[in-house]
Amino acid sequence: MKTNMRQYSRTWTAAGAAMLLLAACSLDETGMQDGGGNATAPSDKIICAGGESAAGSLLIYVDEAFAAELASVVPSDGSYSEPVSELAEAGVQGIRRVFPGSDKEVMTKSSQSDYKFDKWFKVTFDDSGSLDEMAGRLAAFPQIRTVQYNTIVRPAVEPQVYPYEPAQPMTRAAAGQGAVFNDPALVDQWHYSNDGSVCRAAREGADINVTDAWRLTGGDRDIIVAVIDDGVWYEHPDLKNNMWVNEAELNGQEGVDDDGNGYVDDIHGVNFCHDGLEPVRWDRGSGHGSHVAGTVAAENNNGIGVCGVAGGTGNNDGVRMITCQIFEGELYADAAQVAAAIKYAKDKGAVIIQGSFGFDPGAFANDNAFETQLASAQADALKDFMFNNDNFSPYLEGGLAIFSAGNNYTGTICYPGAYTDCICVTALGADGLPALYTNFGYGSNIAAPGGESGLGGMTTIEACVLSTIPEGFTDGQWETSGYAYMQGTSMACPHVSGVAALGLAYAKKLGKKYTREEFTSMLLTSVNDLDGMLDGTKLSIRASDGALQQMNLGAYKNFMGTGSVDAWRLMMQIEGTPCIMAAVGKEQSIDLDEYFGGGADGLTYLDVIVSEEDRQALGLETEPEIADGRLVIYPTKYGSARLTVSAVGGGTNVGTGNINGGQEISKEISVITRGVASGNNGWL
Amino acid sequence: MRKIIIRMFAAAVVLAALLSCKKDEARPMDISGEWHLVSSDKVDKEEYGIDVYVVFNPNGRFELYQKISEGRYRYFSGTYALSGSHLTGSYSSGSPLASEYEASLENGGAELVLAASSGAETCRYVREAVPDEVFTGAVEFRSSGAVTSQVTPWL
Repeated sequence: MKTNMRQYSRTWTAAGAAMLLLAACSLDETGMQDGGGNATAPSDKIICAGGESAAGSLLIYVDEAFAAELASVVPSDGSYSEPVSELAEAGVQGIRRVFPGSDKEVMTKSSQSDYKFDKWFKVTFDDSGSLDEMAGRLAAFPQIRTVQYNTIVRPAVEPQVYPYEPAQPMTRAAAGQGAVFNDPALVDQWHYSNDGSVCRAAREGADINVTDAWRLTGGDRDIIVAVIDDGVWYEHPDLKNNMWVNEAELNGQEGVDDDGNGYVDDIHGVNFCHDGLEPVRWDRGSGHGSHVAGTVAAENNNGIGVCGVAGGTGNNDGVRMITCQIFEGELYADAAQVAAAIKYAKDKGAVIIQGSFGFDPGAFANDNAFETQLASAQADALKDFMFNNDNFSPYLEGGLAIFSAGNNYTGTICYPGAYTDCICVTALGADGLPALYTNFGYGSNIAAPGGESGLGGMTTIEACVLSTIPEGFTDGQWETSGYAYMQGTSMACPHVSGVAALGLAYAKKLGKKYTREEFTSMLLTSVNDLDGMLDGTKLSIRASDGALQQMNLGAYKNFMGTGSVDAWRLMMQIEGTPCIMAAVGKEQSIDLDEYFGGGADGLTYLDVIVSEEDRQALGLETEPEIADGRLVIYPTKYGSARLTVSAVGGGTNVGTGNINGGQEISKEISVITRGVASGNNGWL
Repeated sequence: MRKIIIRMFAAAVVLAALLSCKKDEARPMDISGEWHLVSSDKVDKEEYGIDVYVVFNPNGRFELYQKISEGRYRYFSGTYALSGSHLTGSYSSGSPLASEYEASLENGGAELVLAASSGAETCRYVREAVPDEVFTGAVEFRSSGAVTSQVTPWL
């Protein structure tokens, strides 16, 4: 058996990875379809120029014939080979697959036509040469459809780590009477259950309402969440039992790619910063990845430390996590490596991508730019993850990609979270209001606690999010016992990932099956009202310089998503939503809270669809519609029918290729008519 | 003479009946207790999977546990007032009841009939305690968050 714990140097670095910063690129779109490339001018094939890119490497997307030619010389396992002669003549020194193993995997027909992973290659050359010149030379090849600059990613901010100093000893007894779980630090995780005491401005109930949800489920071992971040300390006492284990590698030979996926010894995940050639490292950053992982699924009810949202009930039933490392101290993954991390996550069974990172806000004008100009390899990998994912079938058809909005204090959210089909998470403080640092804007989907140390204009470290972190972390600034407070949309995001994982676990438990769109609609409507509270101002302190800031809350209205995530509401939606009751013979408006969440009144609704058969069943002589967030209906007959109501899942418009916006969410609503009915759906 | 006696007796019976009615009207109807929906004259509760328990508390508050086809029982509460047999009230959320009702007790108080004042619907309830699993598992929805009415057991 291999060892899964190696000895590393303890050269801890302070640089962390709260966000990726990808410099803005702006280039013409390029054709990615086979067969049409000959008409594309070489300069139009080049994408992602102008940003900060890795020296000595570029990504190329080739046509089918050239891919077949390259396949004969480029190994499947992701290692480099000598280039074919024509590329060598252009100055290429080495070539490898962007997606190891992509030549032999079994893909569905639609997958093959939509996402051609086997056509992406990374070429290397003398790093002293000009990237532009090499890109131009490669673009001149008719069989090369796209040349993508290999953009590197960087942290935008230095995450602050506040070591946890428990008021009580971290022992089982400290959990106290009546606690849901016996994890002693749960009492300090206000983001799960907020009694309003963490600081003066905190509000009771400003949490994810997970305590009762844990009585229904704590997770499921078949659910795998990929933490794409810096390396997760998989030996952390509160994480190790909920880490995914690659049994083939664990029980294989050390130094051998036992499962043949192109990565050697990937027991708990892969360090993509080194293309998998180095083991996962958690000791060179802030511990950001371990913190995020702890929020998703630190082991619950184990008598130590903290709880994770989907960390089980103490019966080996938490969800499992893969570490996909894209940061390592001051080493940041490039575009190809991030794309490979996403694909690896899917290949290894993940149903949720947890991505507390994002590109620079404004780097991408819209989804079209994201897909075709700047990050096409990542976009392909993301689409494949979301739309061709049967890792949790039949309970979910598809995968969920959940990303943070970014911490730039700005009204523009970051890609990939801004990508319409991804779920973008904004951050709230312990008062349930937008945190000072959170990005917001078109494309925001849902909000969650991210912590806010300066809430109310007073510094309270405990108002940040408490989770796991590498033990003994020291870089001259911080030393922890394995737990620490951090704040950011990076901390909000794993709350939503955890809630989604809990929901999937409960769906499996009840035998409920959903499409990706159905489940996303439920998740985005499992919220409490937020927009209704966004009036007036609030005070906060900017962590970076201690400046007191007054926030105009009205500026956030409609730009934080559908509301604040509520785990219990999701459980209730999975159990089933009641029929709505309407009275015959009168026009009435009916509350949609249960269907569209606590912020139903403030959502933007798109349509109400009713079939002719259902129209007849209720004797509808006028079209049902939504007014002020309520269903207005005038039935004239006793009976039942189903309506489909659609709305914008975050913001006032649905995102399109050209315009950022929310996802379309759609709900089927059953209506029963009776003699009388109340507007709140109470029987009496 | 016999006719006179019969008439006097009849008059006494009528008077007694009238006095009796007057006495009943003066005494407020007591509908407090736990009630289980048996039927509606407009909705087939079996067909749609409808199950409703209403608790009228003596202090003028009511609690409602209802399951309408899908999901677990939902919890509502509010206040009610009974003026003679005329029932009015509102939910805690501020919504008025679906109707004003005429209440009547039947079968010695074992059954409660609530007829919408408009005549649009009549529902019949029987005295029956809210089952523990309904009581503890029901959930209340508020815009600030969905909460269980009681601590539910581990499932």
